[in-house]
Amino acid sequence: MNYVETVDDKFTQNIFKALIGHFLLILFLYLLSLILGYSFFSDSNKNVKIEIIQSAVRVDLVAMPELTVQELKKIDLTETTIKDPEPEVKPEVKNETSEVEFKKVDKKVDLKNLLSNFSNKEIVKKDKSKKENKKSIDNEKLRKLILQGNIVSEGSSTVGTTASLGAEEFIRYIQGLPDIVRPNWKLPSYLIDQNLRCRIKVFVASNGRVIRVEVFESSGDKEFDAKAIEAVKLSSPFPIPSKEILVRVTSGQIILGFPL
Amino acid sequence: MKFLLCTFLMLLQIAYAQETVTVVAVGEAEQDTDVISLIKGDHSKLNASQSKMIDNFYKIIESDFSFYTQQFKFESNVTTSESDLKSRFIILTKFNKNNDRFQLSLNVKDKVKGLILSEDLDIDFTNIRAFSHNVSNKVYKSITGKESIFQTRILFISDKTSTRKTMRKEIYLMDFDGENIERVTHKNSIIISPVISPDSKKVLYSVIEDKWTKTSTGQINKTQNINLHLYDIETKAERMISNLNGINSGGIFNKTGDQIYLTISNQDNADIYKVDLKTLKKTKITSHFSDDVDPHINADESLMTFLSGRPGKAMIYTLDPTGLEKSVKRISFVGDFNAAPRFNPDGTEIVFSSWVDNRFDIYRIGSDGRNLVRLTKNFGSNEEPWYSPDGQFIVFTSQRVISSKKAVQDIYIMNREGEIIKKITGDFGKVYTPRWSNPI
Repeated sequence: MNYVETVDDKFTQNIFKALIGHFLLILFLYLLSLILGYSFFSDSNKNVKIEIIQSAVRVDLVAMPELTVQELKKIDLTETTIKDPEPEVKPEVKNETSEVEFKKVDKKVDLKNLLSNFSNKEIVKKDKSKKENKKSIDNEKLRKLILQGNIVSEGSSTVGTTASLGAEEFIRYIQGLPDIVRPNWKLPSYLIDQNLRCRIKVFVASNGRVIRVEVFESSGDKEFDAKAIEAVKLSSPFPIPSKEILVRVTSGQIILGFPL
Repeated sequence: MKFLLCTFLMLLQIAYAQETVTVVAVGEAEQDTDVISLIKGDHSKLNASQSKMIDNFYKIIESDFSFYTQQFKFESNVTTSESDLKSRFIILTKFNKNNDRFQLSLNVKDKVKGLILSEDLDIDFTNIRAFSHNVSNKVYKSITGKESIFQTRILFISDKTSTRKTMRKEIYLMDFDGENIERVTHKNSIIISPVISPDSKKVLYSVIEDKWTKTSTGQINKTQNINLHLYDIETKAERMISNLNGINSGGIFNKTGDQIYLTISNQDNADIYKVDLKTLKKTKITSHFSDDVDPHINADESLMTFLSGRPGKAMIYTLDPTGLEKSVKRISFVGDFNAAPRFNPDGTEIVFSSWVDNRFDIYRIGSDGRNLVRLTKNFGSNEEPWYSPDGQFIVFTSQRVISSKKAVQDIYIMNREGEIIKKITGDFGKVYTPRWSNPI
């Protein structure tokens, strides 16, 4: 019994010594930081381990590219415009069929006729939508283009092993962000070749809106930082984050690198 | 007590443990266009002819800036007052008379940085074009910190002096915007593949010349040979650099202008050599049983690009020109026939023409063989690309077939994204091989 007690006593004594030692060390560093003006504590960036995610791109070349840079630029625009009107097409179809109904009602109501007309109308409509697509971009052409290796296919991005499902989800979420921010990421000519880099911390609300933007690592050029912040702000709202990653997204764990 | 201490220590550890942060790379920024507004000064005090020249001066400045459409939007007919302007840059021009001499007071204001240029310049009415380009360059430099192309010239070949019976190709020089064409050579012969020296004072070119040789039986044979010459534009002195049997052509200067690289076919298959212009000592760079032609070199002479037939088709290669066949790397793997690979000034990318659908079109590729992109399409047959000294533009020739017997070929300028900026020549015969000079 006595033996155990003494061991316990020694343990607490040593712990106390260690505690006081640590306390004094922290106090010393704190005082030193006050005197030198150099912060050992708040400058968290220095202690942070940084992992960079870049989407890896692999291109297979089979032939000389068919489309020019200018044409590819235009394709990017038309692609996004195709996506938008898609939901609007459906109600249009309904409207037209109802019109057809009215017209047919004025004449003689024949169920078979009506049905066949229905199907005819739908086919016609489909053809129309196809034509509409062709106007903005020829799907066939696009497919050919991909075959010829002109369009860049995104390879599997190299991402470190993830601990949990949430982490994977989070990485998937932030991987989508560069594509949203990049269209707004513009620099005036005199800043473009300066090899500057800054990193921006982004706080995203549960509805995807950007609520706060902070400079995590400055480039040293105020205008460059401001342009990067502007790019993020202009890109708001981001996609709505899922519940699993909400904590990470709202607590400012998203850091965007401009350009890296 | 023990528990408390342990938790305290644990908390301490957590606080100082390395926090892992994932940074997502957004990528390189796109260039934003800035608006430049030009506020014209009152020049009513000048006489009629001078006043006309000032109008011309403004036109030239506007035309100069219209080349940099990617970077700037230029507004010249500004009527609003300076304080109401929303543009990023404002050029203020005023005219003062100072002891019989007219002066231009030039100010450039940046909305963010304030006054970035303030200068009084004597107006040179004898050469208003050069004066205007100089002013444009000063404005461009104050904004970007870099030299513009406004004081550069373009060397080219034209068959304008040909007669019905004999073909003649001579060298000409013009301003980058196609004005001020000057004839450089009077060889009355066919000149091919010219280049201008880095100081813009000399021209290196090859000429198809007759060569008389005596055979062992005493007969005199006349053959044709392609010889390389160096020509001084000012003194008009011509110096033979290489006249070995066969081809001596495709010469290019290094950055300092004291050494050249060229193709020589003396031992019946073409290889690339380096020649010291002082001693004329030749050093072999490539050695392969197939032809190696058309060398071009980056600024610090650490990388050479050339065309080689070694894979069976004409393909683009790079190598280290400090040795013989050193670190040879194939860059292009596609295309039926690739031609005229040319580096941009910092050597990061190569522009070249390639034979597609019965004509040539211009493509750009990274010096590491990545990022192959097409620049021209449905624009005639496009050849002989060459970068501007600031790397932003590419000059090239474009041929339009008019009938089975007639075709026109003119010089165009596009930016490195393939946006056609301007047609530079017109009605000046068939023109070939444009080469961009450094600012003069």
